[in-house]
Amino acid sequence: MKITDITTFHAYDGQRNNIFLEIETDEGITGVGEAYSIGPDTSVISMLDEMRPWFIGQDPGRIEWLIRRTKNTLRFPLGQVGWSAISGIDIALWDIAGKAAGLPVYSLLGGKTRDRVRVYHGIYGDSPDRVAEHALELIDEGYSAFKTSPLPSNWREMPWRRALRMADERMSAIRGAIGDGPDLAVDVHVAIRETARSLELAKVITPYRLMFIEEPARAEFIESSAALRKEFRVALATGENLYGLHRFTELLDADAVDIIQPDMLCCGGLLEAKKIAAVAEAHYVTVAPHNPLGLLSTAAGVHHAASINNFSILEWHGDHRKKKSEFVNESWVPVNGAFELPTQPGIGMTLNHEAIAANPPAHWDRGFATYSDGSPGFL
Amino acid sequence: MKITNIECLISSDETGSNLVYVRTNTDAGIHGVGEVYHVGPDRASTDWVEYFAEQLVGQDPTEIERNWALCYQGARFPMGSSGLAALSAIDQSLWDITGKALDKPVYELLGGRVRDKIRAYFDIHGESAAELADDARKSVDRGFTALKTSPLPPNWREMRWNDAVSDGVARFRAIREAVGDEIDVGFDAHAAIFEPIRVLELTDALMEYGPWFMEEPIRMENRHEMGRLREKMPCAVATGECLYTKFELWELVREGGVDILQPEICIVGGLTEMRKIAFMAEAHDLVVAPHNPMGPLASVANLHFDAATSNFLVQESRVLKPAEIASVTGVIEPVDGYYPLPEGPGLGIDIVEEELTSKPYRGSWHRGDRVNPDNSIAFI
Repeated sequence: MKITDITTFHAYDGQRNNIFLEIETDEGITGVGEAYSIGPDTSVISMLDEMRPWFIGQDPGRIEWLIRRTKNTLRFPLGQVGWSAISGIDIALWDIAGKAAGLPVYSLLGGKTRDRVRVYHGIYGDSPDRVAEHALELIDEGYSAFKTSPLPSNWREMPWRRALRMADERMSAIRGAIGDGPDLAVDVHVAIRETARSLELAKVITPYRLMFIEEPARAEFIESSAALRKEFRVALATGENLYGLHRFTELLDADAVDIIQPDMLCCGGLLEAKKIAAVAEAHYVTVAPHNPLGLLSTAAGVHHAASINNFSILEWHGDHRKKKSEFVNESWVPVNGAFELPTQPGIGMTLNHEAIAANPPAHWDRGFATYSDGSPGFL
Repeated sequence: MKITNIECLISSDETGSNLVYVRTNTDAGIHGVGEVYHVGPDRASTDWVEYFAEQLVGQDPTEIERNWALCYQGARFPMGSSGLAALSAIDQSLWDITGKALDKPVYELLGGRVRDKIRAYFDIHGESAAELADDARKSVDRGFTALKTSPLPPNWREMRWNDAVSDGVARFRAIREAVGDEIDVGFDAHAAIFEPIRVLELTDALMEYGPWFMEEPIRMENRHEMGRLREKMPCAVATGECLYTKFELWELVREGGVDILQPEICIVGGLTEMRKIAFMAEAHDLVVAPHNPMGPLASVANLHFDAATSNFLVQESRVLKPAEIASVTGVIEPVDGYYPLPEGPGLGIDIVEEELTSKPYRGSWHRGDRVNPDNSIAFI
């Protein structure tokens, strides 16, 4: 089998853009992948266009070789554009391999290790009570694990001690509504620079019996996470900002993490994720894939989770209710808070070309956060 | 597809060495094979195979990760050599079954091949420097570009240390005179030297002729000391054949104790564990050169690993004995210093059962004893 073409797709889902790609072969099998939408998305599409000739005419089954030589020829550390492009290609190559073999992708990654993939659901709201209500609605649907921000959205503009007090009230309101049973995680989202402040926050919210605190330190300097983990009496989760096996291994070797959160769309794809999970396993660390993007990201996360022994839980935002669900032909909905494993050959999802064409890309950026003195904050 | 039973076939060859194979059968008519490391008390491994089989019958053989965890986690206590040898062979057989079910060579299930052929190094021997040089020349004439031998003469334990080192240097000089400067020559001290400083003295002396690597320069039990030694070693350190699972290899890597990892596919936990170790090595910019003293089945399993692993360096190879060759449907030998890629489906090799039953098991295999001149026990 030979690769004959790589086609990219770019669609606006009402909130941000989704980047998809299809790899076609001379045997009529097409593989689909998704790349991370980083903001300057057209650069990812340009990168995929640049890479395209390196893949045309090649055997799509040689995934390690194809990805390795792509990384090697690029030479310089890839960054978010290169890693996103490679990840999307990797996923599409596994889709082809699965379709060619007549097996779901997880069956080609060591076989399934579990019968279902548990998810946690993001919970949102303007007020702590509204966040709690959202959780209660989801509990009625069968979900049993949730994640929210520990801080109010305008915390950057208020005195820190007030933000801490509001975090306490927020956690108290949510736990008061849902009880101690449901798993509850919080996401600091690399927004706090000073580890001392993150530690203060952790001490305030740890009594609420959290599943994990996510990204409590900036991702650039791994020692910050390592310093926090030494003090934490709650699980530290991080990794969505890291790319590739080497960077995750730095994190793991630094004793800086309890739960890693690779994103299938920018960590390097399914093969890289398998490698990362193996190193994590040797460190007694579990994997909770980051998953905020399109439905193919969820599918890739499910296949990854199904193929590793040290899976923890998958991120999920109820995407079957969102516009982006139109971009794929299949509808995957968790049952009792977990995805059943797909049984179709390959990834088990295909693109809805009409819906994608009907929603051309729009400019998207993350916006800007500022502190009360007007200086830029992290977000 | 379900596993219906797992058989352990054990046979003793004319030299008293044992061949221990596993055959996993399924209800789909497909079976898979694997090789058990013969650790010495080999009956213990057949007991382990039976024990694991009780748990695996009825499982889907293609759920390899899960089946591995079922055995490993079910054992609870670290299982040691005989248990891991059994698990390693069963794991290989599951990859074989999965490949056969898909009609693909196993390496295609590991991300596909990254190379067209697989470089081999050849073990050379000689009582004297002249014999060793002669073996080196013959091997290079056969096409090998990489060799390995002991850094010391066979009787070094009975010699004064400085004489043994001088003799080791003379042996290396003879190899270089025989094969020139461009052949890679690695040395295997075989975990037989107890004092780290002696290894340093020996390796420093050998540096004039450019050793490729020094293998198992000291004992393997203490990963910390291996790390401290490597800080001073003037050439690459190769080690790992005596370590179990990714966890022990990780300890070695964490201590900075290795340049070239040499996991043993028949004892480290099988092909599944070999892959995880290779990933961890890749993350530390380290390479893997699989240990390979077992039979033809283990060699083929290694070749699938080698074909699919980017950070593979070189494959150990040796002369197979007639009983080993007869025990399988076909062996793969290196040609011009390279193994060809193995062919599937699966591992692409099967057991010849009649050969094994015709040479029944005669008892445990013993490595033999080594003693120092004062009759104290030496490492072997």
